[in-house]
Amino acid sequence: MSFNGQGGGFARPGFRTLIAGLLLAAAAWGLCSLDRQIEVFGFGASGPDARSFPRVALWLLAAVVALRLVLSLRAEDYPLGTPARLGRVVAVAASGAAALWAMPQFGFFAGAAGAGIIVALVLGERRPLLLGLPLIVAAVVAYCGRHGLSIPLP
Amino acid sequence: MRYTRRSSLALLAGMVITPLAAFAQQDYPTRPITLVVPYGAGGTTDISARQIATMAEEILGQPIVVENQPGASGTNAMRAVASAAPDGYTLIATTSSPSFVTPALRDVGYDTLSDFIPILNYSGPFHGVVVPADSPYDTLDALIEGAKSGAVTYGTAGAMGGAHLAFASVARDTGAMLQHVPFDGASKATAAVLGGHVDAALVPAYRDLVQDGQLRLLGVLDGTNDPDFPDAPTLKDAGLAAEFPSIVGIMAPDGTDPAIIAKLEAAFTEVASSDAFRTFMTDLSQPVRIMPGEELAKTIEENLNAYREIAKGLGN
Amino acid sequence: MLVDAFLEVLNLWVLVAAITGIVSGIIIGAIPGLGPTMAIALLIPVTFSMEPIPAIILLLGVYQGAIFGGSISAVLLNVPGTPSSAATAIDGFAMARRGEGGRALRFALYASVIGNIFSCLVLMALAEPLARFALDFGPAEMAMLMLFALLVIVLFGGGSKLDALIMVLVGACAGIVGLDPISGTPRFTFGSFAFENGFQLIPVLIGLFAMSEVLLQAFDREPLVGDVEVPPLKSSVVRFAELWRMRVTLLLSSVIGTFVGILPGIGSTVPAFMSYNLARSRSADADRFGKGAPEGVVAPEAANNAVTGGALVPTLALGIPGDAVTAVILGAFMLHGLAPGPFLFRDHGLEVYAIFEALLLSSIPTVILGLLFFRVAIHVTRIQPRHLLPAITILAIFGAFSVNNSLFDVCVMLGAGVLGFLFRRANFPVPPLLIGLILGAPFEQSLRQALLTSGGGYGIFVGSPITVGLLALIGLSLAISLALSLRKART
Repeated sequence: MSFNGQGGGFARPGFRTLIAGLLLAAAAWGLCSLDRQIEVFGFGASGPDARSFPRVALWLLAAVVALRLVLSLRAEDYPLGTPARLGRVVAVAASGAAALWAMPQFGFFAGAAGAGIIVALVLGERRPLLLGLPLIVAAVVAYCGRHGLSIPLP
Repeated sequence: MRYTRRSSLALLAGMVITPLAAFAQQDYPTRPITLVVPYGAGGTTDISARQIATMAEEILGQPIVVENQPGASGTNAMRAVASAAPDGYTLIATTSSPSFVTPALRDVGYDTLSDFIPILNYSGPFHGVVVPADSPYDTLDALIEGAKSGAVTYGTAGAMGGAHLAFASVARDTGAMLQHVPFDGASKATAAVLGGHVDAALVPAYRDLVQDGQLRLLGVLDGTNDPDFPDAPTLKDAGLAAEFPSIVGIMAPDGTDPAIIAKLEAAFTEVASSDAFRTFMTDLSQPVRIMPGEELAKTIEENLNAYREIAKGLGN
Repeated sequence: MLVDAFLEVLNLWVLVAAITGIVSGIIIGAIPGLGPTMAIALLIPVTFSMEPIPAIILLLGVYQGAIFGGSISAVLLNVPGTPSSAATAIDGFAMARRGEGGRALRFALYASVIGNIFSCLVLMALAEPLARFALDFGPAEMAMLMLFALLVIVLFGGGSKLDALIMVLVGACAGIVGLDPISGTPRFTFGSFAFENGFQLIPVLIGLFAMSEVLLQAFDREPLVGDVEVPPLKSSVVRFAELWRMRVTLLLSSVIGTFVGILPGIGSTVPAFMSYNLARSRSADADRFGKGAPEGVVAPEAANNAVTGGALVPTLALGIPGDAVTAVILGAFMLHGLAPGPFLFRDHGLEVYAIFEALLLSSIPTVILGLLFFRVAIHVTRIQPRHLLPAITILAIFGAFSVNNSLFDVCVMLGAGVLGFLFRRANFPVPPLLIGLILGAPFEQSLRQALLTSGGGYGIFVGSPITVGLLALIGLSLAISLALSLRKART
């Protein structure tokens, strides 16, 4: 994997800026909804309660991420890449999500094999024999899981 | 002694009911039965459930598949079984915490009383009040008195467990300053009391450490005495209005045919009262405590209500 | 005790487990891009229904095999499977280009075995005494120890300290989700029952290390290894005398690996480079390093294999795992009812010593299988990831599901996979995130337990010799880290 460092800063945002931005937003949201999401069930105990540690951790996170953003304004970043490359990533992630949706309805085998085939296609596999491989793997995993390890697969 | 008498009664009752059950549901079971365990593989609940399942297979004539559904202190598995088909092919081997402790505290998505039919209680480890051997407290009274003049800390296996709630209600009734310190599991709480980091602990599996002289047993949280330590009083003996009975029992989803329930109760009772099972449980350091389904239902109901009261008292 | 434990080891299943583990580890590790952590994450479900001893032997075998497998692709292709074998690649690949690939791999194999044996002996010597001492570790001591562990990974994990700090905090924040450990109230569960269990380690691990690899490959798609000509392998031998000449290097590297391993959180990359540098500075002709010096292969390999035994010391004695692998092994211990801590050796001494002895003895099958396999492994290194990644996707879904038999964990795994892809693509280090997730919640719990026992007084954190000692260690590591960066800035 070779990273061609180029771009950077807010002018040409890359992966680092993207992530720092996302984390900052998440931490800010966490801090805002802290009181709603955590109910304090007091026993009259002294010291920190259920909210103290999350509050400190989220503030710290927000602070260091902000520092990272400021420091990386002029630093090199990893470019986001072409839409085609990102598209492939989205396709793989979506195939996982689709498998998740399909499993309760059509069973583990169908969901997992489907995801496996989509991943193979996205990775550029074109030979039909190798495209059939996920079917075999999924069948073996489903059979062994259910009967060998007695896991109640959907 | 009490248990054996009760078990033989249950066995007798089971024998009387069995022919009737056979008449109503002659063909049950015709396929493998699933016994859900709400904890991970390898724990005592899991091991004992697997043993009782293996032994009951011979009587029922169908395999019993044990399925682990750990997570959320057992409530996930309870919720799943509550909504399973009430055909006698999905059962759960459950314990106190998801039956009547957690449901008393918050919405768990099921109601133990109306969603389940208890079949049989077969075990339940005694929880003891233990202090280090060099502790100044010799009796429960001394501990409570001591806590009136200065805070006494006690460790348990986890927040809002039955042991915690029982002692919280003791603290409220007596005005003692009992400070709860929750740990991640009973063994960590035991380690903390041995190391002197807390003043007392409410934990099961104390037998060897007490016999070894490393810990002192002040009392038990159950409704009855621990047969290994008949001198240790229950909380009620010591004049405290609280208890935490420990159950490990088998339940079926509500709506299961009574004939099937009777057949299962007879089969599991026969297994649980056998000598082979007792030997197995003794090796596991677990007691055998047999309680028929109806009595188990009553225990759960009483405690669920009691814990709801305690929780209300604690709430904000 | 030792004899009884030995009899436990002489069990067909233990042998089968060890061999299965080592072979699958070597194969997975040899495939460029797939490392030991991922191998372990994918094989955990298989161990769920096994007896404790074979289960843990299998996982440790996978780990050992994968580290050796990683050095195969490092030496022959200059593609280290893990960062920790990057140091091996420097001289190993140089040797391979000279046609001495076989010799380099033999050196790597023997060095790993020596490192493993050394650390295993240290583990056997230290774990039980430390476990006895563990009763003195109350909540305050645990809190300080975990703070030290978190600090160490930020300061000495290598790479940008700020990035590591961000990742540790992300992990700690993710660890908040679930039920509060002290009051039992839900935190950030969005009113859903599924969230109450929090993010479980294994689905997150599978997502971060296996699923993210699939996404990275989908993004890059160029093969990791082009049509690199694998240098010819001449048949070769490594004589005992040659290893004997390197005895000091081997010993020092094993010591570094073991004792850095005992410090929670650092992992195996740092000790590998530390012992490489030490071997070079001690060498009479340091110029040979980088041009194919056998010591340059031996030093990092002995060190990175010695880390496992060292990391198991705090894991088993105190229940504090040092890295992802020991965290998974800790999980396997708990799953099989062996709770680490002061009672482990009293209640399960037989099992634990059987595991130690099996770990020690597994050196024999490792050598045999390693010698048998590295010719086969050359073909394995040619497997294109795209043939394998669909299968890995399926195994990842299966593995995540099987932990709790819940689809929610599959969801968590996929989410962790996407995040892992973003983090790895942006060059943020992922291991600190995992340590944050593993230690964050117990750190908070110990902190609050300590304050509950002290009635809210912060004096408890300086109240015992252990806490004072740990505080001194924390101060010392801050000072060392500061001094190192000052010296770096000056040069």
